Amino acid sequence: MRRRDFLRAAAATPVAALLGCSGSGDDAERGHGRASISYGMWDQLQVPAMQEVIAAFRREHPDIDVTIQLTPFSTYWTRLQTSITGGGAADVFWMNGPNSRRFAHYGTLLPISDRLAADGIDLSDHPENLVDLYAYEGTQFGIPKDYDCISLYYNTELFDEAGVPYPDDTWTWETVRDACREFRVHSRGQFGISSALDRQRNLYPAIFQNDGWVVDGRESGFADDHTIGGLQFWTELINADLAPNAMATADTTGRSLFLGGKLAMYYGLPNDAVEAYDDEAIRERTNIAVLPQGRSRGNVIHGLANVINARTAFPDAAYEFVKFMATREVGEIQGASGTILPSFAGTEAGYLDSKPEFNLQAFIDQIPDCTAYPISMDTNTWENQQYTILGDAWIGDPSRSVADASHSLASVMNLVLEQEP
Amino acid sequence: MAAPTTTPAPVAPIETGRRRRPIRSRMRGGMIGYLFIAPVGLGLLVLYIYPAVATFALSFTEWGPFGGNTFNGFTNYAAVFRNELFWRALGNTLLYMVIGLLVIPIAIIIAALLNKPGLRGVGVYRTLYFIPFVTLPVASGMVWKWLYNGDYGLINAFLSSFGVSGTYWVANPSTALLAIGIVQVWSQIGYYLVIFIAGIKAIPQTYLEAAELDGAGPIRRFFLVVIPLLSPSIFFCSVINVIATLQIFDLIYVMSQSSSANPAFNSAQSIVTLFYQMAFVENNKGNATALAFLLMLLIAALTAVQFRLQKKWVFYD
Repeated sequence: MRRRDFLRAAAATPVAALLGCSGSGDDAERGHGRASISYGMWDQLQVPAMQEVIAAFRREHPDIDVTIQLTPFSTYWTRLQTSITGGGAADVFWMNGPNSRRFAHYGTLLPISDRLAADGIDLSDHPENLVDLYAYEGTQFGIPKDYDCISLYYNTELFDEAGVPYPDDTWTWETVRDACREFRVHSRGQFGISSALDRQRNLYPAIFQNDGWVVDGRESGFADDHTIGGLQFWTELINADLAPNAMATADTTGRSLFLGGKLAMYYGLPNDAVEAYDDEAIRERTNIAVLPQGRSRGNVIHGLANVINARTAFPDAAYEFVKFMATREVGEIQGASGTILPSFAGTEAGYLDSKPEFNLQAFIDQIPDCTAYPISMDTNTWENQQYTILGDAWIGDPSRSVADASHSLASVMNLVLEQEP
Repeated sequence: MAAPTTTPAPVAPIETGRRRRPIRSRMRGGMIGYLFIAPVGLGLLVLYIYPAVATFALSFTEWGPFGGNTFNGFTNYAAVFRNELFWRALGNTLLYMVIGLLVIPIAIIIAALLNKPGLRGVGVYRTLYFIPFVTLPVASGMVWKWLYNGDYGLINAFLSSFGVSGTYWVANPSTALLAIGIVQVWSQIGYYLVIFIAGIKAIPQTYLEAAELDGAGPIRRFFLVVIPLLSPSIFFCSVINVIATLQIFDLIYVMSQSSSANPAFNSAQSIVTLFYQMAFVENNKGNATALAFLLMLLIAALTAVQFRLQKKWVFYD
């Protein structure tokens, strides 16, 4: 397999050189018979759906072979970065928000704006802030594939037991606080809600619900009172012993605590539903609602995109594949698999039908409330500092103020942002 | 005509033979020697020496995320020294080293007890102590993480039967380092035990008998005869142990960094985990290589100090 890839790559190199010179890429490619491209991804669960997508693509483009290159998430980025540097990275691969700008800035992604314009594709079928996440300096580098925002998972059994009405769109932070008092059972280690240090599930939605912000150009939003107020929503619950502190959620994640029946509520992603749904006992006692609102309704949207390796030997074939993956048909295949929420508007039906007992509609209803996942050039560097610095305020000691932690995070983050290229 | 041709003929081969044979055999012996060490030498060159030299060279460059290095002098070193996390990780690493050194007295005591004449099942004990050492650190880290779990852990369940409520051992900033250090000691005991058992076995019985005749009890015999005669083994073990604990990575990574956000993250961080964070999470490979080189200097310095000090306390027969 690997040897074959190598031979293909070796065989493709002179073709690429030729393409570069002649400029009539498409013809040369077709002239050589077939193009063979690889598709890099990290989620094992989505492989069957992707194979279906590839089969559908082959029906339209029998001359283009696509093979999947699966790398676990934990090593995906390291491997991608080294293989791009050394050559031999996949022709088309998954990109996420935190990494998109860095890859685009260093010219490792193929710009597709011109090709999209030539084909008359405006990407308006995908959430706008998600499309923008993969644009850099006015150029589009990726086409969204799926998306996620956050919804409130709740345990109906615990709600019935405590006599609390199920959460709905009238809920506010105040309602959550009151409900959490009802759910606290010391002897069982039972809490109302998970306030884990989890940026996408807990921190960002709360910050945006308090009209705070995370990053703007070269400035960190963590010194802003609105941002700190959002974080306080969580630390107040912890300090009042109404939510497990970060030591507890470091040992056992908030998600596991919820699935284990120790938490009445939990902020979760669309794909968290897969595990909750697969276990019948958990399925029966779980449902989903929109997030309770703070000063405003707020949420964070993130989604993956398909991007093209700038050094691909088959830019045209790769573009055809990426373009195909932005269609309704592919959205429907992905949705029907029930693993993710496809980003093509109107294709959610398959996803909703995959788990009819859950109110998955909550995820779709919140799209208008969403702010795009905050990123900058070196997102990973400052993201990595968040947990270690904020953790201090998350261990349930009221004397360690979240405002202090947030201010020191802001100054560290500003240093990183200043040095960005 | 016959005479002149025959006389020089036998002389020449003998002379050259005398001179050549030793040279040739010396050369051949040398060649064979080099041939034998070639695989190891090549391995060392490719896997250790080249990376070490390359790291040193790269620590003076700024790394582009996708290649393209530019020389930037001591900027990386300055950045590491300015980084508060570096000093914290350095302190933590030295603490791990101190905790790690506990393995030596513990292993000596167990070795002495296992060497008691007439003790049955020594092999079984030795095996039991050695198993943690051959287990993958990642595997034992995972198991210990569960033992240490604050809500479901066996340790807290055990403590609660005495009415003591435990903590989140590896997530509490004040206990995480100690908790991980203990696992490090536990996992290393077997290795040092084997060395000390051999060391104690090598002590001539006559010395111990002589001491006994002079009226020394078992405790005095242990401290005045066994320990001094064991000092070469102790020295070897302390050098090895210091190097190993300064490079501690896997246990920390598995127990406090691999999963969700841990408030004890920085309190348990060692230099090597900081290196990992810098190089592979934050993508700051320039600073990371500088850090790696500083760690190498630290290890070299501490090893040199130990070799200096050994003259004061290590006894060779």
